[in-house]
Amino acid sequence: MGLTRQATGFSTLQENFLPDGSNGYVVALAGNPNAGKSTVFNALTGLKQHTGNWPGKTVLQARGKFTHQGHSFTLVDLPGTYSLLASSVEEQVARDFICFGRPDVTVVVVDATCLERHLNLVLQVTEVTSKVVVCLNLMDEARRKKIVIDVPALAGELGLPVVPTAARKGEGLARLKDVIAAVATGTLHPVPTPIVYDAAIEAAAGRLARQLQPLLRGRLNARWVALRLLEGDATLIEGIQEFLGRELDDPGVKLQLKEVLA
Amino acid sequence: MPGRKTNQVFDAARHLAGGMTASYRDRMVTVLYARAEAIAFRAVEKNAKARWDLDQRLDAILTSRVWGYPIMLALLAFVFWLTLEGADYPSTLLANLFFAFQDMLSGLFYRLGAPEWLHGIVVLGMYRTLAWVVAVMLPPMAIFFPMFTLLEDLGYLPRIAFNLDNFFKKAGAHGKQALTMCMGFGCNAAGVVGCRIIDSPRERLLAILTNNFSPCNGRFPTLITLAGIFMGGFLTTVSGTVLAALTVTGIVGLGIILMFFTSWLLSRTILKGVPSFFVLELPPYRPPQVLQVIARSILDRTIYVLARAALVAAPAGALTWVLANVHLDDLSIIAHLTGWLQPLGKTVGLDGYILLAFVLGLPANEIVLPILLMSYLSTGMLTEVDSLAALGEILVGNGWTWVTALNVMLFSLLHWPCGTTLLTIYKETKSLKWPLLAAVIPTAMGLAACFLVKLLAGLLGAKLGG
Amino acid sequence: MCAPGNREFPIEEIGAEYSGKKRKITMGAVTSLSDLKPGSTGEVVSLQARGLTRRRLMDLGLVPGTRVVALRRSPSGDPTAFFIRGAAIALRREESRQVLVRPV
Repeated sequence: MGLTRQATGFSTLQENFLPDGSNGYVVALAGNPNAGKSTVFNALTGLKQHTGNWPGKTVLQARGKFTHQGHSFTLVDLPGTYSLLASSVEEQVARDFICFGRPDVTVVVVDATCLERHLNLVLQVTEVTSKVVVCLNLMDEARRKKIVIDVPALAGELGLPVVPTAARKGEGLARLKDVIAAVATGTLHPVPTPIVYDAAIEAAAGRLARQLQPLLRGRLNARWVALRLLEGDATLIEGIQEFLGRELDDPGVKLQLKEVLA
Repeated sequence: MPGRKTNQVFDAARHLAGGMTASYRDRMVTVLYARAEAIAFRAVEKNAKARWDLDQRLDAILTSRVWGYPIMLALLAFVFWLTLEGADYPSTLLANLFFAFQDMLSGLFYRLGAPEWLHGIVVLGMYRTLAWVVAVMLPPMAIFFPMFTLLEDLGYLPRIAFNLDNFFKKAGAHGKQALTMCMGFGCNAAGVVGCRIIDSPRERLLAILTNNFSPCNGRFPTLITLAGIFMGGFLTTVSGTVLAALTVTGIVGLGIILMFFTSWLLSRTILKGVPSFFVLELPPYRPPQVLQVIARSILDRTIYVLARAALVAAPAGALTWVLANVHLDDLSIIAHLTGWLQPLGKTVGLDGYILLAFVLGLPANEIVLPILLMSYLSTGMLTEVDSLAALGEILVGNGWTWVTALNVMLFSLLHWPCGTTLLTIYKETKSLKWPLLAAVIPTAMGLAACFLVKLLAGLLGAKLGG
Repeated sequence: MCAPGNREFPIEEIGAEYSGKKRKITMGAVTSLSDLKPGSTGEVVSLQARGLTRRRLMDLGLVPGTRVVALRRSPSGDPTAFFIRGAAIALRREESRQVLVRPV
């Protein structure tokens, strides 16, 4: 019927979502529904994507460009999700992009008035990639509701740069761009605090990750893949196989392989 | 090759995890949430509990057992009333302006000695249709879209979904269909694409097939204009305007009811199944940024929709003019075509011109009324359509009564989706079967509904035109 | 209030002990989330759902120990909105009855 996987599967991923060409950096924009992700997207790119106040309206990944400090950035707006554990189409799309799209920076937009819930996604993203910037959005609303957030403490706990913003008012966006640029160019190197599971999981994940390491050739985070395999995520396996298969078919990779073998 | 080797590792992983995967996963999620809780505990100095008070109070009204549904209907009616009331005057103004300019254009063509057919295609065909589309569509859209967007920004849409979800569940449909339905009020093609938010293929098909029951903004002008003329008595009185608004609300309400019915029917016949997991977040109400909303909805939606309509209207206008003015055996092509459609049209309380206008309006619903008007005019009736009253005269002159008007409104709600939507359905489902079904279902219902209305009106002794 | 770290949990006890607090579960008081009266609070004890539904419920933050407030029912009786970890989330009865809670 064509409805099941095609809309989100890897083949469409390649066509629709990998930004064409490699001019500049790719920035993924993730976040829970209603974190004001689309507002941040518009504010950064100047693109007038309509932003409604209801969950799930971003079905198609909007893409926009902006330049900052002489670098050009392609911003990819991912569907709003609570988690990256791929139990829905949106989650799978978001996860596949962060994992296989290999963005140079992933910005996670979180709602400052509802931090605890939104941190769950931040933590999950840090398991995939360390190049994460937290955009602490809706600060204006937090102020209105007298919620005070200790930003340095938050950044310290997460091991990530945290930029408070009020995207609707344009607050904090210049700094957000600075930080995105710094992470993209490598001048800022976030070291997310690792998440430690119980001993049984850690032991199993460690063993599995060691086995996976040579297979993934450093293209994917072995610990994260190991964890997903342990929790029985079948959708990821297909994705990884396709991802690695494609890499091998790539003429550039073939050449490299030849050199290595010679 | 990596394929086999990876498979081995994956098998190893499965073996390692064994039957424990569910428990592993539970423990991972628990740890993640505990960590999030701990971090928030350290970083947030005041808890966000208080912010729910206002939201709670608003929800207590907007989703109340007593007031929830009346408020929904009243809001809908209010939006239509405001659209009708506010759009009438600027529409007339624009029409006057455009038709004055048409006279100047005609004068120019004659002075330059342009052939009659060129003047016909360019001025009477393309320009006039275009002018009509802009004059009739721009003002209502410039009011309707910002209103709708304000409600959207406020956070009211998820409350609609919350209020209606039980009906979706009983119809075997997904709760998110309420949201795609609302998107359909903007544009059915967008609504169909929006159905991607529904995971289950069965429920997604239900939502796709029934999206057309939301009259899109290409059809609202038709509904609003006809209601204004025939139910609203040209909107000269307050009660007339209210009646017109209630009529449009009733048509929209009927669309929603039929959407539930069709979903229910489909999920008990060709799309059997039970509703899948549904969760709906009710976001906090946010004060909409009024000016920005108005600017954005006019720029984004109004101009976009208008541009699309205009793009289709100009060539369609030219085509219609040609059809109306090229004669075969002493009769224009339009006359031939309407002649064929006349028996069917008359049977269901419409006429051949109306059906032809809907057929020619396939590319975009916006042009149905202008095409209809042009085909009527080509038979040698009035010339200028600068007000609702003049428009009403043309229609009445062609045998329309309020029954015809009601039937055209019904058929506007219940007929095949526009070309773009059909193409989108094909793209989303990769099968010809579904767009076909999406066209057949509402059309059959529309013909039946019109026939029923005609029959009932006949019984009531209403004077039928023709 | 920290991650459980390196302790081994028998599956049945995750709910009872996560986050290090001592919580006593009296089985008699346990009810399902769908039976929670609007306005009252419950603490998640366990999820009866399996497979995808379980995954999705957990992703919403319905892990054992989470406090949930029943906010209000839809005017048609279902779904019900719950306050779960800082957000109002509506669940249908089919799902909410698979979440066992202990009224607080």
